[in-house]
Amino acid sequence: MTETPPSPRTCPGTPPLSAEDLVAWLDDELSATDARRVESHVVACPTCAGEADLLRRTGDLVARLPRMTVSSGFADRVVAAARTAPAGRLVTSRRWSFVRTAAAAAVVVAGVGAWWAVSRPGDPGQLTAREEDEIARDLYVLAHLDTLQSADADELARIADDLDVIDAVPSEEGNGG
Amino acid sequence: MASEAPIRTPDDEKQAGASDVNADDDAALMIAVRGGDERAFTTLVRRWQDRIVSLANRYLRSAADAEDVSQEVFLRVHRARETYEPSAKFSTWIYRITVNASLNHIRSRKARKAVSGELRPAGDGEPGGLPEPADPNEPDPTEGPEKDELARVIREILDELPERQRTAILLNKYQGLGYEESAAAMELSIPAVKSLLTRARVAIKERLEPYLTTGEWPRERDPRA
Repeated sequence: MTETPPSPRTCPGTPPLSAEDLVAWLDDELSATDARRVESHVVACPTCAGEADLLRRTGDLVARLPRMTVSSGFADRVVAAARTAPAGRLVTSRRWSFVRTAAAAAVVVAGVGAWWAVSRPGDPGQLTAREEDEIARDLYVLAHLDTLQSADADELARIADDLDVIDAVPSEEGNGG
Repeated sequence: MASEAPIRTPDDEKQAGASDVNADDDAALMIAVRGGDERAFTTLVRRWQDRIVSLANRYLRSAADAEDVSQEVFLRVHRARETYEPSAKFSTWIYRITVNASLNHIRSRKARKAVSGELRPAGDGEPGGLPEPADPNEPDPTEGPEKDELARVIREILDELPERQRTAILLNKYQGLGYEESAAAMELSIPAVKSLLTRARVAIKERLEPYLTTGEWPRERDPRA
């Protein structure tokens, strides 16, 4: 949908009442003088009265859209994250799941890599530099599984960043939002 | 997982006189947070969590994503405690962070889709290079299968609005911010927000008009089709 000028029903009044004034009147955002002017117009103009009724009900429907209630423990998780991630690192439940999945996947990859390295024909035991790096990373995860599973948010974020598996987190903001 | 709450509109809160009290309390709480009071931060999170997650969910339509983004929002608030100025209205500030974080999340999601080859062809983006709405086939976690059919239709209409119109109407009607506060949160002038709100309101009204006037959707104009 593109931005187009508001086009309510054509007001037959002279001068016609603008849609902006009608909406602002409904929202109680006009000065007392302007509010009286709009109100007088609406009372005398069935077209604008009908338009005002539809716009009012539209606003009410948006206002009454369902709200969410957060899951239990949300505030506790936020406070804990604020306490343990002073540098601004975020470790959401999703990212923690990702790291655990990565660790599990590393077990499989390392096993397959080791098997392939010793069983491939022609050049047994010889790995490329990249393969060595990947296996070294996977072995790191394997060797530190217990640490990863018990790490606090800050440590987990640091390790994950070191392993290059998580995007950078937005930097700190001030009052400017 | 998140669930649907009893609907309490911004107007309800205004009538209850809660907004002004909360505004003072929020600033006081942030000053306490600045002084290292963890309980103040907990109170602030509990006070704002439903509103922030609900707003994020209106952009993201995923309870998990909405909570992840909301956590990011609160952590940004916490990180910025040293530089917080009580002169800045807390609600304006946190809504601005929420909108920006939600839009950034959509951009990241869009980038991931591009990498995985799921991106729609270029040229169908929103004006100004702003991000696409979430996948329209993804269910909204706040909406049930049938009783919230109208809510689903409104959600789809909102998704099709240009980004700034959608943000303006969500801040003004869904979160109950006045024109001045909406303008501050969007870093726009009040006339600009007034114009965006009018366009959004008229666009939604035109799509809903068949339902509003008859109580049901004419088959040939059914926006759900």
